[in-house]
Amino acid sequence: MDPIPTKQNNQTMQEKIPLLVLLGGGGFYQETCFLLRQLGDGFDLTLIYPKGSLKPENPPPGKLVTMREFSGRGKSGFKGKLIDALSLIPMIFDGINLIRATKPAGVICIASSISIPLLIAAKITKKDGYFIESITRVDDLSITSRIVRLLNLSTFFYVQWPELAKKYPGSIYSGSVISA
Amino acid sequence: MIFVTVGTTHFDSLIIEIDKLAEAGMIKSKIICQIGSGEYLPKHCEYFRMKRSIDSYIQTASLVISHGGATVLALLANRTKFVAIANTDLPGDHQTFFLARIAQDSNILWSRNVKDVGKLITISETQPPAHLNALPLGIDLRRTIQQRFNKN
Repeated sequence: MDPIPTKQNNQTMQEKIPLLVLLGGGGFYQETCFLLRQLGDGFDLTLIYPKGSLKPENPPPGKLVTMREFSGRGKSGFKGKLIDALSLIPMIFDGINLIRATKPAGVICIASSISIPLLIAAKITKKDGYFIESITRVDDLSITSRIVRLLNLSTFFYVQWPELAKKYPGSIYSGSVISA
Repeated sequence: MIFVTVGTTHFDSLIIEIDKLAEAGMIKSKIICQIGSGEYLPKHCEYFRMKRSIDSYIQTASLVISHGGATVLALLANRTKFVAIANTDLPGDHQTFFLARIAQDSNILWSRNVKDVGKLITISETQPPAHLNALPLGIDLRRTIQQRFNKN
């Protein structure tokens, strides 16, 4: 089978690597934008934002798509958690459908709780899942990160501070989304 | 123009301190405050609660005074001059941990005491914008993605 022509094979044809990227909200959205800037060119991006949220203003270059989010938001206690758990299944299906449609080389998520169903979808479809803990988590992991790690949902688990990598063996520290 | 931002929650103690400094003439520039869900309405500054994007305010401000949340990342990434105050009005002290850690690898001006904001504004006048001394995560991520893609 002929190799896929890439720069590395010293062939002239340039193939952009397709990636599925979760944009998240608030600070996670910002961190994802910084990361995509660092990633640079050479990627064909499909960017996911939560259905029901405002379409991002000035998003990074790429195709924008939506995905359902946890329905229990704003509802406290056991009822809220139960609704969240039940909404996980349609979210996983959304993720699987997006992966089948875009055929990405991998799925990238920074910190958002929507990472969980998306990474489950990546695992089911045998795609690489890249999970990155938020830079704001200095001394300990978030609940989302703990779940991702406990259930081994990601292929690669990044943290953005070296002391977190020491505290959680198996996690990778290779810098942050903010650099000099 | 000095822009003050407290994020999506409230940070009344910071807004009150800024308002006091403005009233006393300690801050001479025009001040615009983004006050979030705060109860205190400043009398000597323009203000608004939330906007879809505060980028235009950040870009045109000569100085940004920010809570210690995710906004600090954008300010560092864009090399904007800023002073950060950890919001201890909120439960937990997450922002103090975050700012203290950032300060180890950068030259940010910050405090967990709102009474320090006047002093930090003065210091900022002669300091260059802060930056974070860290490797870019995206470089290693790019390499990993490319290697795995080419292997397949």
